[in-house]
Amino acid sequence: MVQTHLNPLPSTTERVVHLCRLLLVWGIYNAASAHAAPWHLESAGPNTPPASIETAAMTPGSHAITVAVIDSGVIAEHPALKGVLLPGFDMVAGSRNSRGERSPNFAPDPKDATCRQKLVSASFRTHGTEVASLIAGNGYDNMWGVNPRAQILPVRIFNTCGMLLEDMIDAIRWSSGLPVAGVPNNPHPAKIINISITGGVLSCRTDLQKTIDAARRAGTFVVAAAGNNFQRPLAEPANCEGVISVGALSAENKIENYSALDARTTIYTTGGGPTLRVSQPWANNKLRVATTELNMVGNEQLVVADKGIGTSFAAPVVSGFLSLWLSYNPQLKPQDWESQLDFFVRQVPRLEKCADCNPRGLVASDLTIRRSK
Amino acid sequence: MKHLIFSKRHLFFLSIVLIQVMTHAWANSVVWSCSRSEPKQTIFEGIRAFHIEKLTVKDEDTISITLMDLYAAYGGEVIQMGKTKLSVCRLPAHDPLQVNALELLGYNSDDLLKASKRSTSSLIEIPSMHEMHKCLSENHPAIGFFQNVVENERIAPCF
Repeated sequence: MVQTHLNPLPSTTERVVHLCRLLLVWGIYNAASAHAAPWHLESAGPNTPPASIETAAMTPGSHAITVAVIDSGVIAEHPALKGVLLPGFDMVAGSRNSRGERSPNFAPDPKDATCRQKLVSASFRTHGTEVASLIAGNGYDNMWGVNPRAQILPVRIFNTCGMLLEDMIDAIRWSSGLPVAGVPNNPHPAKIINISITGGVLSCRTDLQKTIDAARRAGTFVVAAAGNNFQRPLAEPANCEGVISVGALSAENKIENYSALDARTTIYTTGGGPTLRVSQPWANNKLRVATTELNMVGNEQLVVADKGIGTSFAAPVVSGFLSLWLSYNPQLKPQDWESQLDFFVRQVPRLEKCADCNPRGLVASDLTIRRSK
Repeated sequence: MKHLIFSKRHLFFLSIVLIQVMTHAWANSVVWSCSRSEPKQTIFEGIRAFHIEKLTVKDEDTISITLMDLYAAYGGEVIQMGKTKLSVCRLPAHDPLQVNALELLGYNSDDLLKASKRSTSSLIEIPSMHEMHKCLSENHPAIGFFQNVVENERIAPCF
């Protein structure tokens, strides 16, 4: 004999209570997933990664700040960048540009593009898109940039053939609103220029320094990645005077060993690195970026992934932070940043290899942002 | 003697053909090194190249990888260079030099062994550092490492 126990039918009140509970759980889940900040932005709290810049709960000011991303181009179709891109420019000189000439088409080279014998990995193609998303990602699939209200001005200078210094100089000039021969004027001059590119020589060449000086005189902040040269000195453009050079930290606030090591490095922030052998949710130690991946049949898909590693990804965290700061007061100048830098830093453990280094990590709070207004 | 007079171009090529092993070494460190394609006159245009996440690669014939590629490659992932797969030269997993290199990337010997077993892995095991140069040269595009900076017609530092 099989006994069955039939539950009595729930009353209307019980049904309503149950429905309310379901709605509450759904609401909490949705709110959490819709606003889950990447670990490097998390607000101060007991479970915050030591290197977080703590901007997640900050509301940007009323001014939309333009940030130029001088890089490999940006994939405009990426949903994480919808609504944040301005009309940019492809500054790759004609002789090295597979499209034949400079133009407003700032898209990266096509997948699998080659340049004579030169072999470049696929990750260069998405580099500019990843950098842009760290500054102003709009929250699609939790891809939040530091300042989702910033406006990105994509300027392409790097393609499969590499890059020329002359193109970088023209890109900096154009981005900051200065005239460039043969190129239409930029109707959206940037307040901040992010250059997640390094590899010039170990002393800043005169032409590049003059260009950076001119951009600063125009009120533009120039931010550059320190470079991933495994603890060697800064190269161009990070070693130029007046550039905010950015080294990389792990989530645990330690300088990553791939980062350049030089007393001139202005500031350090999260750049991602090897997985940490800890149990915290940020153990992966990679930055969330808007990027692409190949599906089963080899087609490119636009995705969000936790995979960013490098000073290339630390620099846009600083650029995004600057845009947040300027969104309260766009009249602030690079000199203001230099004089108020102490408000935005926390101590970072020194490395023995650089006795004269005094590494400082980026950190913010409402208080520090407002004190600097 | 006329045949000993070189043009600037000849001198340039001679200089890159000569193997330059610089003496600067980093204790407890390695120099990640990338392969180069056969040098061809047409691809040298006196370019002072910049590279995303890279530095001091002066010629267009050296492969370009990012730091993310380096981590992914030693983790056993496939890295596409155009339509070609990147090869990864490595020492036996428990070789002290290999262990040291892995530690720089946050991996250990077990991680490397696991990565090597992946069906898609491009990791190539060599018996000793003496074979590293050959491995990089013969498996272009390839990455590996040395204890010192090695820069010649077939290899250059990656970063």
